[in-house]
Parts: sequence; structure tokens; C-alpha cells
Amino acid sequence: MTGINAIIGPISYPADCSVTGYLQGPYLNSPYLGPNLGYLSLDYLAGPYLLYDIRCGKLGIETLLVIDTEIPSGIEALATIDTDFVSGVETLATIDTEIPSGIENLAIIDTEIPSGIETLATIDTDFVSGIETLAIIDTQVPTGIEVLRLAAVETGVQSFVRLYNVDKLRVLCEFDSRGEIDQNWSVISGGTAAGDFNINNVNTDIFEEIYRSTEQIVILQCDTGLDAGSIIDTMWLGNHNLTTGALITVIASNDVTFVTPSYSFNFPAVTTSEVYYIVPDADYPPAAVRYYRIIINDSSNPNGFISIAHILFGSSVIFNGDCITNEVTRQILHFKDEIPTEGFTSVMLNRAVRKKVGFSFQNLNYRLGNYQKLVDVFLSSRTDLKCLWIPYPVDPGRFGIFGKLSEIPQEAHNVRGNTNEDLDFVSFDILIDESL
Amino acid sequence: MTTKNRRPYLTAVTISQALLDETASNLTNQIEFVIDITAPDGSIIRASNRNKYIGGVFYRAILSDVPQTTKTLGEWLQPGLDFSTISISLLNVDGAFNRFVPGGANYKDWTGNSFVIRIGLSDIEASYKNIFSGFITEVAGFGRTTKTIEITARDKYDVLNRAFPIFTFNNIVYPFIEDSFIGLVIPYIYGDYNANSRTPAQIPAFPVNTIDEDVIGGPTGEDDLRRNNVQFVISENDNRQFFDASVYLKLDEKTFLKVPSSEIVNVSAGNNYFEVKQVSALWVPEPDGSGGNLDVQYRFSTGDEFVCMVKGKDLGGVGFDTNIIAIAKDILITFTDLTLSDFDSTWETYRLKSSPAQSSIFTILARVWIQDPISVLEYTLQLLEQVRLEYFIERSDQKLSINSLHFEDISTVSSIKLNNWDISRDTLQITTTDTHFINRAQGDYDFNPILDFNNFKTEVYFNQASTTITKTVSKTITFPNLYIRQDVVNQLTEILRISSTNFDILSFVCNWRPLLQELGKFILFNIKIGSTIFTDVPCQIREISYLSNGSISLNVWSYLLIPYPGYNSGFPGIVGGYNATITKE
Repeated sequence: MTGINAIIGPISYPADCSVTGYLQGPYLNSPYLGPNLGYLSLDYLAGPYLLYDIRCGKLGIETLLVIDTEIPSGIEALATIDTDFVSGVETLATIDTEIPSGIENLAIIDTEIPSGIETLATIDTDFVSGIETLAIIDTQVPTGIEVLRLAAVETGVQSFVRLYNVDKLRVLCEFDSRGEIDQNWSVISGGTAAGDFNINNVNTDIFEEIYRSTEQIVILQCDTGLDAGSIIDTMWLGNHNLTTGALITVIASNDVTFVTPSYSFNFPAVTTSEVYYIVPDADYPPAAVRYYRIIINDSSNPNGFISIAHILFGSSVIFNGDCITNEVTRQILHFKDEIPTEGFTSVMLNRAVRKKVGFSFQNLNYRLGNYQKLVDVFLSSRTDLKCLWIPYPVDPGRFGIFGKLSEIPQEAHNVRGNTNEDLDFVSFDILIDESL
Repeated sequence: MTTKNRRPYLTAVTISQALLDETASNLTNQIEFVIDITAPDGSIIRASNRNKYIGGVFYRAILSDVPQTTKTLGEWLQPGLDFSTISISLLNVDGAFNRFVPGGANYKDWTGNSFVIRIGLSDIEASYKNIFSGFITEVAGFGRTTKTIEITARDKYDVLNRAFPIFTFNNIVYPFIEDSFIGLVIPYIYGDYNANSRTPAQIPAFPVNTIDEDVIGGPTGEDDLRRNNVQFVISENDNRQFFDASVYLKLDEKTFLKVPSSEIVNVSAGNNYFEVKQVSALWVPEPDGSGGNLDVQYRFSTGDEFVCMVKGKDLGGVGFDTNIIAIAKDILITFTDLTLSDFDSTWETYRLKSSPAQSSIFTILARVWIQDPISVLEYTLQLLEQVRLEYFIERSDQKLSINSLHFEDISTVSSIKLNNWDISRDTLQITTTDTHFINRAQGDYDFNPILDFNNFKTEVYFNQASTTITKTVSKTITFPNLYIRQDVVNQLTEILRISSTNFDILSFVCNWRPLLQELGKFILFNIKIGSTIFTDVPCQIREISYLSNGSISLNVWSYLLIPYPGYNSGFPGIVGGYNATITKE
């Protein structure tokens, strides 16, 4: 039995290359391999081991290899490399077989700008596959890794990768905190007040529907239901009764009993009825974790209990590069019934206070990922699902709003070139309204 | 340093008049509605026009609109059915109630399920007060659209909308009853029918075995043995007393032959059944000659009519048996689902009221004989109206309560005065009703069951001051359940004192200050809008509606031209009121 049963050679190589190869002595009956010709046969091998060394001044390996068999094989490739540029790995590869395979990839790389890894890849097969991806990278802004990835079919693995920051618009639309099943929250300690104050009320979009404890120190636990874990970059507690003395600690663990926590962090001090945790830039969550515990200690709360309407966390859509314009509008809305009287004044029935926040995008680069991210938000959330919009994460409570789009904005496209990404812009305004 | 709280409704624990006044002064309040509906599976649907907690209960904003809730005393002198009917739409865009609709897992008929509307301050549970309590109706009570569940409910009056009496003669209980009696309703009797009768007796007795051959004399009627007595049923209810000396055979409209008491046998313990012997003693004419000359042994013939005297249902004593309040209350309890706990203290107060004479309910005698089925609600309302009372469903505890139109009962103290700045702009409307206006009237009283009309009429009475300044409007007012002339004259006089003035009826929308007011209560109207000038005029609330925006719609009677003890506006043109002179023609 042998590891390689092949005929190798003749091997062509530049004059300044040297090739040496040998078969280790114990496995060879005869150690012969010529400088320009290698030939091994069973007669000369006692085992599968071949040590082969090619040393060149400019090239590690260069090959023109065509494999077009349809016979199932461990690896099948149709590869063409025709560049003379210096690169770590350069390939122009096309795979168009419809035969199920472990990995199928249709990749085109046509940039000549040196980069770590750059790929323009499209996979549109409907076949069952371990990994399926539709990926477009079209920026020329130097980045470590940038990818915008859309996946809509059943997949084994789905990922969203971004460049992280804490000062650009972020939108939390997918709430890992709401889990994959109903009743994914539980009260570890602190009790639940009698009445309709179930802990899972934190999962509703209703501002007034709350969880209420019976004590001032509570431990709440969320099961995201994600076996692969949830990476959170944004967390929000809305419409709570916490005092400024409240201490909020979050512990993450893949262990439902939290015997072995993965990591933990503290919320910033409570200042308003909404409190945000924007993951620090230098301390991005180190792990994807399934279970989260929120420990709230508000022992000085004069109500004698803790109430919270919303707890949201998950991975946000985060802008990179361009962002909203400087001007943000914010309005507090007072809803009331008004009855004008014969006394030439009016009496009012107080109803509720809500807010709305508006901001603009001026000349958003059409070809960069930010625009596409927003379009994705528009299409997924439309005007009927609330999202947590944080225009200014440095001070999230200032403009942060959990609301719906008042309407999907009308976009003004300004195309001043064909494919040049610096000459294709989109401008539009967004209005988020809590009362919708 | 703190200043006065200008939003006291946020911390108040109950709604008081002082709070309503204070919030009106601050021009702001937070009055809200919630609705509890019993679903087919017994669960409670908590609905509101906004999401909120009341106490520990969460109400969802699933009402597309808050319905207007109206309560009314109805039309005076025109007892009728004035239901409050509420229709609402529950949003079901998300299919949350699909399990309750046909085809759903928990679908069952919604009819009869309870429906309650409460009104209160924001989320303060103790402040919520019941303004409507009813049931989903059997007619269009439940419906649906693609987006909503439609619910229609009627107030508690709906349970009073039942006909009585309910039992009829049949040939199962009475196998030998004549066919012509099958299906005839068995009468119900209250009060003393042993007095003040225009005829020797006026309670009909219904024979129930007159196709028995042993009663009518064999197949040909010629068998003289007449082995069995003739059996008679008087009423469905047990009676306090049966007078065996006052049973008569009615020969014609004016001729009655007295049945010897010895011929009356087997009177039931409940005094609602007796038998008459046949071929027994001689029946002799009355001493005065009435009754003809039938001194022969009696043999039943088809068509023979018997009448008798009874004292009706025992309501706990003589003072109760003939008391019009006690009778009305018993009818309500007997023929509806009401219990004693559904009546508030006013029923006892007015049952015992003994002065002045015209309002002495305790001594006013009343009686009821009823056979033609009629609505319990309608009948009991007209019972009370004969003594100038009316009942309604009280807001706070949903009990039946009595409102009085007795002058002496009008409170001279009003807890609320409405000013220009309480009245919603452009809503005040003033009408002068002529449907209530009567300045000359005659009483028609004491219904006679066997004559099928009232026994007596009073003289004609009129308000000369009124007829002098305007035309004469005459009306006959009936008092079928009163049988003492002076009682009827007293009521007639008092009615003329109110009705002989063209008083104003005001309707308007105002702020929430009258929220706690009840039907029949008085408010002071202090309004000056153009030609409308009212300075502290007492007005009685006849109808009250709670509007979705927290305002209140009122319909009131102005007493500007109706003086009563403690109030007299002194304006020229006053001809009615407590001191008006009512003269007999």
C-alpha cells in the first residue's frame, strides 16, 4: 500500500532553481532521483514517504493544472494562475459542477492591488452544501477584513462580520435576547410580583408591559437558544425604575448553571429610564455565549421592587466609514385628548409621552457596505417592526430610540460615474417614531 | 422646596369630586377606560385603548375605539325600554382571538358572557369605577371582520327584558282542561282584591277539568250524577288569603250569583285553587236581588265563569303585600335573575316613606293582577311611575336604585356647579319639550280583570295659572295598580305641578367634573353664553354618557321655572312647581 501512486515529471523550473528530493533511506530500495527527472515506482518504495524540496528565487510553486473529471474525488479543481505578480496565493478559479461536494466555490479575484485576502465570490447554487455564501467585497479602503454577507436559505453556518466601532450609527434589529423559543427568560432570584408581570414581558415591543420583581436585587437569566452562542455588542434596558445607585452586571456563560462563566461586564451608571451598554472598542466580547445573566442590585430603590419593560441585546448593524450627518432631530410627543370649552380654554386628558428621532444620510456611498446594510434593515424591519436605533453610541441615551420607521425613506441617488465607487451616492432621511 | 402638585391624578388613589374639581382647575386629567370581556373559554379578555396596567392586570391596546356608554332614566310618563347598548371592535389583525371564532379551538357561543366597562385614573386600580355592566346579546352579539372581533352587549336591563307571567295552562298538568284554555297564561296576583271592587268580585277563576265526563255529565252531558267537582285555578302564585264567601258565578256583565261557601271545597294551601261542588246545595240569590233567582242545584255548563276574591302573594306582611315598591321588587326577583343584593337601600327607603301624604308610599295601596305577558322591565317601571318614582342601574355598584320625582326629595345642595369653562364649546343645546307638558288631567285607575278596563276615574284637575297663559293640554293619566281615589288624586296633582310648566331640557358635553354624578342627581348650572343665561339653576340629570375622550355628555331638566322646597328662582312666568295650585273642575 502506498500514499502516492503517481508519476511525477518531468519538472520544468527556471535555471536559478534547484530541486532536491530524496526518499528516506529506510523506505527505499534505491535512492535514485535525477535532477531533471523524478521517477519512483513500487519497486523502489517500501513506504509512502516522499520528501520533495523545490527552492526558487521568486516562486514557491507555480502550476498550470486542469482537472475536469466528473468522477468523484477528494479534491477537484480547475485552476488557472496566470499572473506574474508577487503574491502569497493568487488564483483564478471556477467551479461549476453541480455534483454535491464538500466545498464548492466560484471565485473571481480581479484586483491587482496588493491585499491580504481579497475575493469577489458568488455562490448561487441551491444544492445542499455545508457552507453557502454570497459575498461581495468591493471597497478599496484598506481594511483587515470586510465582508457583507447575505444568506437566506437554510444553512449550517451563517455569519456576519463587521469592523467594530463605538461611534457610528448602529441598529439592533435581531434580538438574540428573545431567544428561539417562548419563555426564554427566567428569574433566578428576586421574585416576580403577582399579576401580569412575567419576566418574559421584557421580550415584547410594548413600552408599558413590564417585568416586576418582588425584591430590589434580582438575577435574570436569558437563554438565547443559540448553540453556537450569541455575540453581543449592544444591550439595552428600557422603561425601568432603576435608581442611579443601581449596579447592573452581566455574566455570560455557555453553562446553564453558570458554574463556569465565560466573561462578564458592568453596565454604565444608570442616569435615565433607559440604560445602554455599548461594548467598549478595545474589549469586544471575547466569546459567543448562549446564556446571559443580568444581575441588578438596586437595594435603595424606593419602590421596593425592580421593573423593566425591555431587555434587548444582540449583534447590531454597525456603520463603518461614512455615517449620518451631524444634525439629528429629536422630538418629544405628548398625546392627549383636548376639549375646547366655552370658557375659551381647553381641558386636556393626558395620554402618553413618546419621542421620535430623525437623521439624514448625505451622499452615502452606494457601493460601500453601509448603504446595503441600511437597505437590509429597511427590507427586514420595514415599517412594522421596532428596532433599537442608536445614532450616536458615544452617548446612546441622547438619541437612542426603540421604534419603527415612520416610512421607508425615499432615496435620492446621485450617480456621477459608472462603476467608480467614489462617484455614486445616495441621500435620504430617516424618522424613527416610538409611537408607531 | 416644593409647590402644589398640578397633576394630582397621578398619585390619587380614588376619584373624588374634589379631585375632579382640582384637575379641572388645572385643565388636565388622565381618565381612561378598560373593558373586561369573558371569552368563550372562561378567560378574561382585557381590552383598552392603550397598553397599561391596572393593579397587576395588563390591558392591551386592542380597542379600535372606546364606545360611548349611555345611561338614561328614559322618558317620563312613557315607560319604555331604554337599554344601553355597547358595540366594540377588538383588533384581531394578529389573529390573537382566532381561537375564539368559528373554527377556532376554543370557539363557543359568546351570548351571555359578561361585559364590563370601567373608568378610572391612569393605572390606579382603586380609582376605577364601573360604568357599564352587561352581557353579550343573543342578537348580533358576536361578529367578525377580517381584522376585528365585533362584540355587542346590553346593560343589566337586558335581564329585565323578560316577559311575565310565564306559565300557561296545559293538558299535562290539567288533563281535563278545555282546549280553549290550553296556552292561556296563568295569572299572577299581588295585593288585596278583597276591597274597592266595582264588581262583587273581580278575580277570574279558570276551570281546569271541564272535559271530564264525571264533571260535565257523561258523553252527552245528560248524566246527572256529576261525580266530580269543578276545579278552578286562580293564579300561578300562592295567595295570602282566599275568601270562600266571595265566590261568584258570573251570569253577565252586571249579574253575579254568589256561590254558597259550603259549596267551595278543597281550597289549596296556597289559596290559588278551589273546587265547586255540583248537584249539591241550592244556590240562592243575593238578599239585594242581585244574582238572579237560581235557587237550584248547580251543574256546570261550558262557558260558566267564576270570579272570586283573594289577597295576593304573601310578601312578608300586610305592609308589604300592598306596597307598590315591594310588589315591583318581588316581580323583578321572581321573574329575572336578580337577587336581593341587586337592590340598593333606596328601595327600602321608599317602601317605608310615609310623608307627606302625596308621597306616602307606605300607605298608598296597590295591587296587581296580570295575565297578558309583558316585559318585567316595562311593567315595573310603570308601577313605580304611578307614584312618581323611577328606577335605574346605579353606576358605582350596578345595583338597581330608585330616583324620586317627589318635590320634597330634591336636594337643595348640589355637589357640583358647572360654568362656562366646563362646557365643551358649541355643544349646549336647549329645547323646551312639549311631550311632557300637561296642565289638565284626569286619573283613570284600578284595573278590573274581568272588565278588562279600569274601574274608576277621578275628577278632572287643572292648573289654572298655566291654562291661563297658554293653551290647555289635557291628558288622561292611568294608574291601573292604585285603587284608592285619594292616592290617585294626590299623584295626579303632583304630576300636574311638574308638567304644567314648559321647562327647559339642556343637553351638552362637558369636562370630567360630573363623572361621579348619578342619574336623578342635581347639578347647578351657571352658564352665560349669548342668550343662554342660567345663574345657579338646579338641573336634574336625566341621561349621562361617558365619551371616549373623557368628557361627559349630559341631558338635564332645568328647574328654573319649577320651584321646589328650598329653591325658587322667582322669575316671572312661573306657574308650576311645588306650590302650584291644582284645581278640581
